[in-house]
Amino acid sequence: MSILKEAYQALESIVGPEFISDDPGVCESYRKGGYGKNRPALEGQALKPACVILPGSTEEVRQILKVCNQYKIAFIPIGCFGITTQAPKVPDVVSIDLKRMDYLEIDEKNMYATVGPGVIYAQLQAECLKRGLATEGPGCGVGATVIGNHLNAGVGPLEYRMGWAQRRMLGVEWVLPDGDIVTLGSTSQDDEDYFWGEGLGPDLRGVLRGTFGWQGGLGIVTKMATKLFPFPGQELERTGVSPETGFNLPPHLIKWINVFYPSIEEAANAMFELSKAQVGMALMTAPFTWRYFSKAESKESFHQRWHQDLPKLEKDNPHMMRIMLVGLAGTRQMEYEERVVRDVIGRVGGDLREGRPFDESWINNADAHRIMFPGGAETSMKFHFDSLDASMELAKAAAELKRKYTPPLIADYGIPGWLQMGDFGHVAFCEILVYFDPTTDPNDCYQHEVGFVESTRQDLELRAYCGLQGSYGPEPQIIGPAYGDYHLKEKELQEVFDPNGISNPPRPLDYAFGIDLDIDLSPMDKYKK
Amino acid sequence: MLIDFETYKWDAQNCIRCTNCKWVDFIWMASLRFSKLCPSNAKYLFDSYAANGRYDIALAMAENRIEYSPKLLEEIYACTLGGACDVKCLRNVGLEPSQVLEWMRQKAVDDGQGPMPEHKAVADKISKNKNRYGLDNNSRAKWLPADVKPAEKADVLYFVGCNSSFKQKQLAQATAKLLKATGTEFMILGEQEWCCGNQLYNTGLVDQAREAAEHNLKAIKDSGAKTVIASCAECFQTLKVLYPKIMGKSTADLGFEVLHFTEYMDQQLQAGKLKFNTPVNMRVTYQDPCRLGRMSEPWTHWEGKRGKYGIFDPPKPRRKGTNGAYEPARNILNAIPGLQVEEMERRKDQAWCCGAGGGVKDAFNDLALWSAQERIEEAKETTGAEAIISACPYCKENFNDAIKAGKEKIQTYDIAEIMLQAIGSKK
Repeated sequence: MSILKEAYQALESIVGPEFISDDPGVCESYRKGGYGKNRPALEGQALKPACVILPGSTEEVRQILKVCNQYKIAFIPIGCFGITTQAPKVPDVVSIDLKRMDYLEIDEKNMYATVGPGVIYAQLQAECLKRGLATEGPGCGVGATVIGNHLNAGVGPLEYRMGWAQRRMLGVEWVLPDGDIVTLGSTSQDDEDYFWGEGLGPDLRGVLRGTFGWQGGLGIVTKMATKLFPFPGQELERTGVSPETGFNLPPHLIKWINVFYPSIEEAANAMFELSKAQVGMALMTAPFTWRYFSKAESKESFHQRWHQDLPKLEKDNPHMMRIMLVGLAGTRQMEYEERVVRDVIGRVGGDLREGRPFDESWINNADAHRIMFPGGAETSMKFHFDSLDASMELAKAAAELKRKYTPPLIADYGIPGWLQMGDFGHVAFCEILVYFDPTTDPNDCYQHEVGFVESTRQDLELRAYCGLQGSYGPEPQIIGPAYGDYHLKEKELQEVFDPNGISNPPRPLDYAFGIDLDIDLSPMDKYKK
Repeated sequence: MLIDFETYKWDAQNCIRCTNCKWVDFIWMASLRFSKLCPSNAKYLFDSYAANGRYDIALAMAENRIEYSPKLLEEIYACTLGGACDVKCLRNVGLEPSQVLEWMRQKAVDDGQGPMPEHKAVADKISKNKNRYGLDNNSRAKWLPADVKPAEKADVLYFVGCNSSFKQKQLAQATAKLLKATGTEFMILGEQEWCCGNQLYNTGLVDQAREAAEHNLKAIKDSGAKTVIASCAECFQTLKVLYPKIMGKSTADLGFEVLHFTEYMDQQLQAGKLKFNTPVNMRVTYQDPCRLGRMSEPWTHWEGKRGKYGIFDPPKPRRKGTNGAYEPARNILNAIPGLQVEEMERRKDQAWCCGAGGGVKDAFNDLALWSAQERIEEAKETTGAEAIISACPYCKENFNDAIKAGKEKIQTYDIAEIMLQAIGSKK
């Protein structure tokens, strides 16, 4: 143990000996967080925490943070541990695993759920579906915690109708880095009322979310309400044995329609026209890579089939647009929306085919982590929100850039990622994916990092929005000056809330550590611990 | 050591902490209450008690970055090796955590630190007496009822297992009577049947498990049996999966077919040789034993290298739990008149482990009982069942212990006991 014995005892007195440990095995198992750009760099560099603590209530969280401040011990809140940013990057941290805080309550009448930080989306969705409600399983998978993902944008395919998770956030209970509790929205007036997000006075949700979430850099949200939507979940039949599990879709209420085009521009045009009609629950183009690895029996069979079929794909140049229709108000809505889709496609063209009456990916995103299947690691090279035209332009440029770094990146085809419409087409989300092996050859990691920096510079050249700021994405020292030095302001803000600098340091300013890049990092030195 | 860590190091390094290994398949997850799949992590909470955290501990062990301690041994051994994490990880990320979990135990033994003292005690009994209870192995066939006489020579051999031979003899008796009821002539090995060694292998005692495998395989070969039937899920999985694994061959090369009793009886049912004519008026639910369900797919011997992207060269077949023996027991139960069979939320490949396997019952009885109590709660809350039916004596034994400890009203039976009632046998 490398924190003061006195501090450990103080923490132990809060949760009891059962829920704190400095055992080497326990600490070892909190050394390495999940996925994200920095995962390769973390290999061999991540530090063990000094101890791991599992609070069971907001009051315990509050007391833990008070002790951490008293002894100036850094802490890291952990929801599901799915991202690298929750792995220790400075010595002697306290990892706060929040899985015991799995409070979940659904207000069916007012259609919102209140959750604790240990609740994952799959749990929430399971409880929602049987009540005729739904949340959105995010693109990163329903193993993500609801609160963690809401604080980190929370993007998923159903945002076409539901909007981003960030905007579904209602009342919030938030323990600041110094241990004080702040409640937002209607909760600020009544501890039991999580119905409304905006409250009297300034709305601090913008501070809470930051540019792309603080990943534990601004305290711990201990309770949050999220808006729910009507959904005919009771009609879904679970079916199959692993790995072929999914929902049988009742065709009179839920249906996928796929439309094939000879160019991405035509597919995008169809999405644009469908968006104008404001029908559907999800609308996107889908990468062909995904179709291959989501069905692959094994890594070996994926690589064999993918590389065998790639030349034919490049020759034929197919592109697929998908729309999911849901009769939220019943069969008549379903029939109407399908007629609209067929009418629009009849006008703009395309080879329309009904999808399988089966869903494994979107209602309760069960196979999101297949994204790691091809190479072992995946990074979102672009995470972009803009008009459809701007997203298309960036996606095509990104595809070219990706080719430059292939190999070591795994060869891809077409738009190597997702183009998903949000807010009924008022925004287009573009996520470009790269797959690689982070462990076999260190040079692959280096090339990946260099490519990532070049991608960030490309964003700036194209005046494209660089998503994932301050996260595991673009280096803030590159994009910061172009974005009004947002990163410095973010740091100033953090210093107000976290005067001791102990809330998951060096959040929010992680940058390309561990790999020697040809860029000047010295302006950031003052923020190094 | 049987497992080469270098082959699976890539898996340990590339775990992305998606936590799939802890949860019920997200499609099948039906409630917050019964959403977890890993008993070890659900009870002990820290990630050192989950496949994702154990991957990190394995890396530290391989690199000598962690020292053995009682706590480390607990982290290694307080797990039923029920295969749920494998099924979940192979569904998505494509890694095989169970290989690393087994390696950790084998390394602990090689380093002179494992297994747990309780496992050593059982292993000593097996070494001396060839059964896990330390009883005279010459009395192994004493369970035989007076009205059942095994054949001297037959195509079918009933591998009885330690538990049904020595403790829950009524299960072996029910099995034998049911075999007779279908007109099946069967042999037994008697004192030539040694403990299958499931726990020996699962606690890392590979050499001793190999000794059991060599003996039992020879005894089976000498018997001339074409089909070996096991009514214990552990024996079944050992014969079908672990013996080929230990002996460096494939299940298909064993030279005989291995069937669980439920598989064989389902065949008899479909062939019209088994009739259920007596109603069993009870509301029940079925517990899929891990080693009959998701862990029972045939073993295919593989030798080769691991390359970039984690690719196996030559390609290695993955055991994802897809083709486990889930339906035979259900077919049987659904054919019994009067029996109302209700499914729990966690079922088939997503079944919650009863808690008895992998050496847990011997060394961590608190975990075993807690796991069983969790399942009993699920049976009560989601099915209203009067009884939990399983197809493994260790499941039944552990459920019984949990029922007694919790003063529960629910009952537990082995499927053979229910079938015996359904054919009109009084006992």
